[in-house]
Amino acid sequence: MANHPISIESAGGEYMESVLVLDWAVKPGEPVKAGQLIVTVETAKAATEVAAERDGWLAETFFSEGQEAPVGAVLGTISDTKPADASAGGPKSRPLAAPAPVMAAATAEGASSEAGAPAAVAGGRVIASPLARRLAREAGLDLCGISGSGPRGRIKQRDVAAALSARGEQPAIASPVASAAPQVASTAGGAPQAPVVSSVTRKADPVILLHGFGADRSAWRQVLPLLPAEFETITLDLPGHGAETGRSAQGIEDLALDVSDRIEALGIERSHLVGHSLGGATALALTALGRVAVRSLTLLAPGGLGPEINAGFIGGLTRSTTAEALERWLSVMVADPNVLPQGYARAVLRSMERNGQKAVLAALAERLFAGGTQAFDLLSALRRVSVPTRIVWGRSDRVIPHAHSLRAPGSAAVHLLDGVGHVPQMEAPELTARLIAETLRSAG
Amino acid sequence: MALMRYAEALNAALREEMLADPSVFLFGEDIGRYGGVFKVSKGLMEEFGESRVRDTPISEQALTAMAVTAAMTGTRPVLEIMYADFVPLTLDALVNQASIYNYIWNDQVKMPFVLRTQGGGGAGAGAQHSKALDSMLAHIPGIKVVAPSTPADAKGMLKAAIRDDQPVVFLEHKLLYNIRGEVPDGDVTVPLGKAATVRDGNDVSIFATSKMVVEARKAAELLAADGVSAEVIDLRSLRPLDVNAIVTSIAKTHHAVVVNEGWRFCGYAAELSATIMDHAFDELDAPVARVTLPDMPIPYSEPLEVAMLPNAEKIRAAALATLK
Amino acid sequence: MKNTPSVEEHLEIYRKMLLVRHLEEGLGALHKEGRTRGPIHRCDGQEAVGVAATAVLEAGDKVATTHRGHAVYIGKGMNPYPVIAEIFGRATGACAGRAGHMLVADADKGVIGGNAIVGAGIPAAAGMALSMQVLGQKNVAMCVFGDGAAQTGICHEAMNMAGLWKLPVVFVLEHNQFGLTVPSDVQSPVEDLSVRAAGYAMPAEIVDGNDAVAVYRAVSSMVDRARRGEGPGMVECKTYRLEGFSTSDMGGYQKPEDIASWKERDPLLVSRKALLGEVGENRLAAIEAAAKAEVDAAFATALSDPMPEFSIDENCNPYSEAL
Repeated sequence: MANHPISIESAGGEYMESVLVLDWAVKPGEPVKAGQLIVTVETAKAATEVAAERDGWLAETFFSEGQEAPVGAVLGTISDTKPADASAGGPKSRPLAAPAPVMAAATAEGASSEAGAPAAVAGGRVIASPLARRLAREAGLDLCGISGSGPRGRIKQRDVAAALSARGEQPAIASPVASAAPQVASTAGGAPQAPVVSSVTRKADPVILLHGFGADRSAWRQVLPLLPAEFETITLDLPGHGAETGRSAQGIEDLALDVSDRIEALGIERSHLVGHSLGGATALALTALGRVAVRSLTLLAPGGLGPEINAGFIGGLTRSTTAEALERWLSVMVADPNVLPQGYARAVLRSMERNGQKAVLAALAERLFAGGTQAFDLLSALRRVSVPTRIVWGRSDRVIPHAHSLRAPGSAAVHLLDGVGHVPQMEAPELTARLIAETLRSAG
Repeated sequence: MALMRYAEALNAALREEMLADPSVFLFGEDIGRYGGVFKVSKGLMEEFGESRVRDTPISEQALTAMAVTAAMTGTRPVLEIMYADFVPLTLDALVNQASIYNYIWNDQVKMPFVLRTQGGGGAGAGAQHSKALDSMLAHIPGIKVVAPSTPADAKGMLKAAIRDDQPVVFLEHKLLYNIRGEVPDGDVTVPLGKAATVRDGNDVSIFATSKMVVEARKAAELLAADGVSAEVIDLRSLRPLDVNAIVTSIAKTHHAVVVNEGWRFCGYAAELSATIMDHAFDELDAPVARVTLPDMPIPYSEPLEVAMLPNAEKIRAAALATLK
Repeated sequence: MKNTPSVEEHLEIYRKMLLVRHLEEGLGALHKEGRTRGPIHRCDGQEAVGVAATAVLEAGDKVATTHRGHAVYIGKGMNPYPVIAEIFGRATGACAGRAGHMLVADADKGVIGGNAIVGAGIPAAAGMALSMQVLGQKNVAMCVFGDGAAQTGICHEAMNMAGLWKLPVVFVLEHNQFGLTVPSDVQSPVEDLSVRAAGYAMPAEIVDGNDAVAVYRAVSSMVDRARRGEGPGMVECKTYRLEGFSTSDMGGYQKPEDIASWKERDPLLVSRKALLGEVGENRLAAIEAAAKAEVDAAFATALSDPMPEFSIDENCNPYSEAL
């Protein structure tokens, strides 16, 4: 029997620290089919439905309806076999929560009036300071199991710190899904964030997906569920982006070196690369670097094949101070602005402003795209590539002209998509996923 | 820099502003020949004459109302109300007159007057001469209320208040007039609405104004001996309030003690607590602690009055309690 | 006679009194139609006080008045249109709809302003006079106040200081017999309130408040001495409030025979009679028609004017930075 995680890494929570579980469509113990709706969560862009990735039985749920779950957390598991005892409904302890809840015991004894008592009272209300609640929420920590040391058993910052430090010492978790559970964002400042890996067992060489300038690894959320299940996918934030705003890069080589270091640190020696725009350029530079053996390349509107780039777009992205302004620039990157989800611009802006990402991006843009010119040329790198290579470009791209694709060598396949702008993975996810899959499979 | 008493710093501010601007004039009870009950206007009648420094009848109600219209017709009056306890007599002029006209008359008039008064207990002056009443004043939209705690701020903020085009209530404290401190030379103003961090700390933030800043500083010394690092913020201005200074400090310490020499119920400490909840809720690791007067009249006899007033020891106890 | 208005000055007073009367009657009609908002305090029958007293003043002089101040607003130089627009809460009102009819002000005209705290206008005018004295200006402040306001404590405080410091202020007591519904003889032990002026070492004169010329003469002499630096004075104008306290007044406490006899001495009739011999019917009829047309046009324009839009007043922000 194996339990497979239900994750919301790619469920549209990209600009949020957490999502809200709205509705479980299936009860624990009930069978599920691949593609069937399992759970609905609320994200920055309203409700997102999470479908089963495989056939099986809903084994466990770790977050109940109305609860917040950190992005990247495991919401529940799907079992390959019918669970023996699925009668117990309701959420169990989450894989990341340290000790099991002691709520019942605490209330039965009428405890909790003294410091040190478990921080729970009748009705299940946890007493915790606002700061403790915020820190726990950010760390994906369940307060239910923590003892509060403050007055009336209130959980304070120090109690959360203690629990987090205990968690750090004992990363192995008793839950059956522990080994499969993705690591939730570390709160340690400066340390690189663990990449989110879609499955644990490596059946084939993994697919590493690199997003474009100003985006983050969630750029792939529409495409990921559509990729063949046999391929493990790894999405990384480029330096200066997403959770990696603390990492800087001077140029395209720095980006490639940084990504290469992180791929090697994961113990990966061979991989497929998918890159969009700046991520495409990074993929080419990474291939040229040669430290990781590249099995195939899928480049979506990649940078580095010509000098032109829409300076207005890059500047607008980094300088917009209102959601309305940003939205106008974001609509430049797609052929049809209606594909931008509701509230997308606001979420992007909030994330950029919260993380201090704006300044980092502006500095990076100055180094990479000064004067509306791509400061790097990867055409010769592309010509030297000997593995299956596919270039996908929207004919309506207003950020980088699709004519750059005409410079590709004869060995690369070029697909020009009608009615698509700069972001094929968002504008035409099915076709893009199919083309990625064909590239992956053509590598054998 | 010059070492000055608080009252001397105020006197210097008045004198400098009167020299610089002939539209500045002073009036109030006993301020002329006698130089003020607390000697703040000492020597000014001799220097500026009886038109610009006026002894008045005991008529707080009309004096304040006259300050309002004098201010909107070209002068910058500075009115001294001898005790904050007499401010209730002036309330119509503040609540129904001074505070409304700028807005109600669609910016047709300016209202540059300063009402100086002094409040607070500890001097055995009894129930009608010991109150702070700062909360009552800070409640009124359209009026600024400031309460400096040092001679330097007393001078710099009084100069800024006289130059301000809105009504400013300038709260002094009878037990601060004789404190000494370094005061910068020359025309130095201190902006109204900016708090000052008077002691850095990491464990708990203590917010206070006027004489309570003195007590908070003493409390911080006591807390240091307890192993607690307390930050002391002199708010200096009750309204407008420097909320950013408050949030910044709480984001560091996550614990707040608010100190006010007024009553607790519906008081300024209650407003600070609510402001902290509005703007820094997720930074709080404990409820905001209030150190205030109990809700009752201020008695005369020394042990009774001492028992009633907030002091360093009470602030220390509150700080330790929030850190539990 | 010294300080008597010229015929042309009297005609201008008559014209302004007509404007005020049409204003009050127009408001009364619109109130009956339910088109006014909040209480409105009419001064029908008292126009001679507000208009003739302020006719004496110069542009740089200031006046504070009561919640029943329409005659003062018009008398001191405001046009009916911004007053009416203010009363109807329009963006085009004298105070952009923020003040309403009790608190109208026009600082450029020296109207600062209406005041609905009874008695508050008295120290207000004294404060303006204090400012003029400190600055050495040759201007005069005036307060038009009622017999109700004369009973407040602040009246004593302010008049005492005005007398003490010889402030350039003239107190015009508009004695209309009622403080809300309570007649004056139930509020004061003395019938002629100006006897109190002696206690402040200021001269006082009692006049027929419905005779614009009498009001003008008396106020003029007080303004002259105040302007000369000889200190304040008081003029007690005996008049009668014909239309009740406000539009919310249920009435029933004013004697019909009193109302009838005061109506016979309507200030408009008194002035018209005096002017008829001087200028003839045609000139008066032309002035009357023009006044009616001006007020009608002002109502029509004001009622079709836009309403103001709300915004928070940043001057009142309790925080030093906008949040």
